[in-house]
Amino acid sequence: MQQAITTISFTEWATEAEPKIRQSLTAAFGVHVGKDAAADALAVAWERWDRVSVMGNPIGYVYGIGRNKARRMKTRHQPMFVEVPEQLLPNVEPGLPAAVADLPEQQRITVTLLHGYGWTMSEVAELLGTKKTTVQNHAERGLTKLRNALGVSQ
Amino acid sequence: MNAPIEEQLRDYFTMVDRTQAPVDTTAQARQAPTLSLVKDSHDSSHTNESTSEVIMLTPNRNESPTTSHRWMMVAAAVGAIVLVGGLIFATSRTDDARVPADRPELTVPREPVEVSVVVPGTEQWTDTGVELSINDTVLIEADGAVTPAENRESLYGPDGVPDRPSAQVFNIDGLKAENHNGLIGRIGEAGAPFQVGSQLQYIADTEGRLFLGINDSDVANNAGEFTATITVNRS
Repeated sequence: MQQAITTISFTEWATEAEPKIRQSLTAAFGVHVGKDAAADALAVAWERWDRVSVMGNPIGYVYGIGRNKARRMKTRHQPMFVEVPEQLLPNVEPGLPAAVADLPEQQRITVTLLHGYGWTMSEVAELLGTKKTTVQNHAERGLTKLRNALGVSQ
Repeated sequence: MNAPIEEQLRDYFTMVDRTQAPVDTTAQARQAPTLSLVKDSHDSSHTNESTSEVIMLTPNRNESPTTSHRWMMVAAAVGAIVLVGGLIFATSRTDDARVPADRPELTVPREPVEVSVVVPGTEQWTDTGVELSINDTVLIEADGAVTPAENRESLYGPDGVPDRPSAQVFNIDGLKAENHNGLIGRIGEAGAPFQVGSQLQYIADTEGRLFLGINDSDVANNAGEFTATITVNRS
């Protein structure tokens, strides 16, 4: 049976998708490269909107474009994540940004999106094209590594 | 005693999200054809303050980027032809004694090509429509993502699934050692396949039609697509 395809404008879609694409690429590549890759990927999405708008998982597709863009970007010797500002001390460990950056990519993405940006397990699974159980495993392993790295018991 | 790690992550990344200006896709996009994108500058290495710059892009939705690039190349080619014609005219008016006897014959180069081709993950080979001649300089740049059949959990770019020997056994013959599901190419219907990945530049040593494909012997249950931009500078 042929399905009716409903298309929305790029602007409508981008209003909701922009934070997710920026946050996911920031989780994967850090605040600077992630932001630039998100801008480039959204520009590509706009150029190809006729095709992107009818995709089943446009955010996942645009995230994939951003991931490829980010991997081609020249990274300078700078930390992925900014230092913990004074107002968050001492509740947030000063070593948290570096510890998150040291996690394997999949664990870093899942931990950051789930616990840092408040995504649901389903949203992360859809972005990465994976199962929720896989997301959960990555997140649990990532959290354990962070606790060990920072000497936090809970 | 520190807060639980989940709480620390939430507080920290909430701060990151607030200080990271969003990519502005709304202002000019509503009044196409201009889109403004805000990109971070890369000079804030150890600070929490992000500086931003606005980059204005002007793609025309009614005219594909490929088309506009092609027009630019056509214009460049026309300019080159006019220049060459001018040179021929100018030299024809000079005194024969000042023209070297071994002056090389002037030739007009063939027009360069730039096309964008969608390579579906479910097609073994896709005809790009690009005819190559020996000594053409070919640049292929690709992005997009394809999910391999053996692992629907992840999307992989044109470089394929990295370091997965168990998946490489499903590669096509001739490219068993390359990453599974990566972007590949061949010249002609029966040409030997070669690795393309996300970028390949080479000088053609075979003439014929360029095909792009997926390094997977069974593409039927893949999903996704790559998009390749092919630029050919004629010899």
